[in-house]
Amino acid sequence: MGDNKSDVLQGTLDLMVLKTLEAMSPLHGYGIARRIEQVSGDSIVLNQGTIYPALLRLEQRGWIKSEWGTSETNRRARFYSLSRIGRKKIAEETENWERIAATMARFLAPSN
Amino acid sequence: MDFLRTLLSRFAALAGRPRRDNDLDDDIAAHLDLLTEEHMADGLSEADARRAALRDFGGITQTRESYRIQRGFPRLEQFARDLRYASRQLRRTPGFTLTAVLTLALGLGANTAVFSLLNCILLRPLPVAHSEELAVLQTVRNDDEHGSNHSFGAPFLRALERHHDGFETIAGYSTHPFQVRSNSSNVRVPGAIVSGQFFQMLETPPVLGRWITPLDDRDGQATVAVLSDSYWKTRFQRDPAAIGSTLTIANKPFTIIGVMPPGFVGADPTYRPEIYVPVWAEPIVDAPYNAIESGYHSWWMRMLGRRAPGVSLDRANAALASVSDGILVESIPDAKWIKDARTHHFRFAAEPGSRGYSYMRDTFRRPLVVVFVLCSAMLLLACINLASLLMARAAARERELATRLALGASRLRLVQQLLVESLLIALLGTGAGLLAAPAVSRFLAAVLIGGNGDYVSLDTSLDFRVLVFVAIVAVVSTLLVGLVPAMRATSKGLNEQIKSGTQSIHSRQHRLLPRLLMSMQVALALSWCSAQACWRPACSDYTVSISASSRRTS
Repeated sequence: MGDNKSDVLQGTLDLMVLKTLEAMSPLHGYGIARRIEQVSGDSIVLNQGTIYPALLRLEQRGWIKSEWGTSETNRRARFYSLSRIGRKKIAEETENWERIAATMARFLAPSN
Repeated sequence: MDFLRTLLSRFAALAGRPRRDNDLDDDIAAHLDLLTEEHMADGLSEADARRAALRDFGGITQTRESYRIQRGFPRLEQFARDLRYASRQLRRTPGFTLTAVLTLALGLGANTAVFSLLNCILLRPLPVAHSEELAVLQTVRNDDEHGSNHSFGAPFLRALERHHDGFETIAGYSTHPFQVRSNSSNVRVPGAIVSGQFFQMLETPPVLGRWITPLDDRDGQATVAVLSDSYWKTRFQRDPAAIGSTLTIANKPFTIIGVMPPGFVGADPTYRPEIYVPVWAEPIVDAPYNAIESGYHSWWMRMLGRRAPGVSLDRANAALASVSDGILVESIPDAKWIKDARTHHFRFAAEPGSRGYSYMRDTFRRPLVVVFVLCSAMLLLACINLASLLMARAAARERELATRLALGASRLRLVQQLLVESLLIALLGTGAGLLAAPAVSRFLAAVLIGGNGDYVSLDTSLDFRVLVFVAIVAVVSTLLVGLVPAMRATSKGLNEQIKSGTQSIHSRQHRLLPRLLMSMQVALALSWCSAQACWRPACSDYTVSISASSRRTS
């Protein structure tokens, strides 16, 4: 899926991260990336490294927060969880996404 | 809100950069470890698992880069880096840097100096409230080849004071040196004779005491005077007891009733009166002359007015024109004079007066503009000079730049870096020029005044207009100076560079630009020199006319 990895739009990746953290918190970068791959049924294979700029972006906006912890392999790593603002944003972003998807569906539907 | 939070955290990230880099590295290391574990659990060897992990992760360098771009202000950090690099380059060649900076400083300094003079005489408004409401009065005759006349006599002043529809306040003034007693001898002090509504019109409250009002400006009233802040400082050491004390002007006592704030100069920006007295006292301070008695034979005042709120200049003009005839009849006892005036459609008119009135303006408008153009030409010359210097310097670095291009640097990036170098030179040159400019301005002002005008003072201090001008000139000169060399130096690919070997074989096109620059330089220099030769005699003409006009007004 070569170049399509960069096509996983920033916005959708953000929403996926938020939903993942809603379901399971706290998680570190590896955990989030892995779970996204699982939930999407391996149809999305992202460069797992791209998760980090996305996490930074979300943290800058104040939607998620991070804490230092120890990973399963005894390494120092950051664990992320949703913030109060992030929880509110999930509903907003989900609605946004569904609206866009519905509009696109109308465009793509065969006209009768 | 999100945007604000992001901005704040970007700011915060500017500090403690190395620590944050380490944080990301820790995260990445932990991530890779877990991926490796996963692959080993699937049965791969440790080495294979590691490789698979790296593949899954994607580019580490790319991740670090996107992270950094997200984190701080990458453009700003890039600019800071370019600045450091440029200053290093400049420090390595101090001779060139000094030459470049001095060249620019000379051009910029001269330009700034002339522009501040221009600003002071031609552009700057009076430092009073709502200066745009002020208008300068004039008398217009259809046969006036010299344009309108700004001089008024006492009869017209008094008549206009009575009929000033369209104007809220109307006043006359005349600048005049006074003979003031100081330590049993008389000293000449620059002063002004002003009518009753003068201070009211300029709407600047006194810092002590009160103004001269219309009540003070009636025949036979007490002789009163208002001081400027600088005179209060030098003569009375800012003692509040100055109010009520007496000043002896032309051997007669004047009571001081008020002090004006610093920065107040009346209605003429090129004259700084220290003492203001009312018009009716003119025969006293002007003794033995008496301009008021000479009536319509003596045109010794200028007049200004403040338009009533809501009245446009056109309406005020119309109002003036309508009262002109009436005033003519009322003030001039000479029937022949009146008939002559009527034949030539004599009327009063008003022109915008936010900058007050100064006779220097008409006299010096053209020479100032000429000098300004000359200095701009000089600056252009300096820039072209600098451009060829920079081109020679860039040519020496062509190989380095071509290599960097081959390694993947974008041309834009390299040009940016070179431009930052010229920006640095421009900034240094501007700084040096600004330091020298005030001294040059003062010198130029002295040349203009030529020792002929009494107490003409030009405030050539830097105000925001001048600073804006300097900033624009600095930026434009940076681009002029730096862009062409930068574009030239990055135009050759590495292949061509290597092919041309140690001796650069330039194509015909390559030689054209330097030759063009050189001919432009010579042409400008020649025309500048010849313009200089013509300017000196022209300037002496003007100094002659100043002394003539200053004799007329005194």
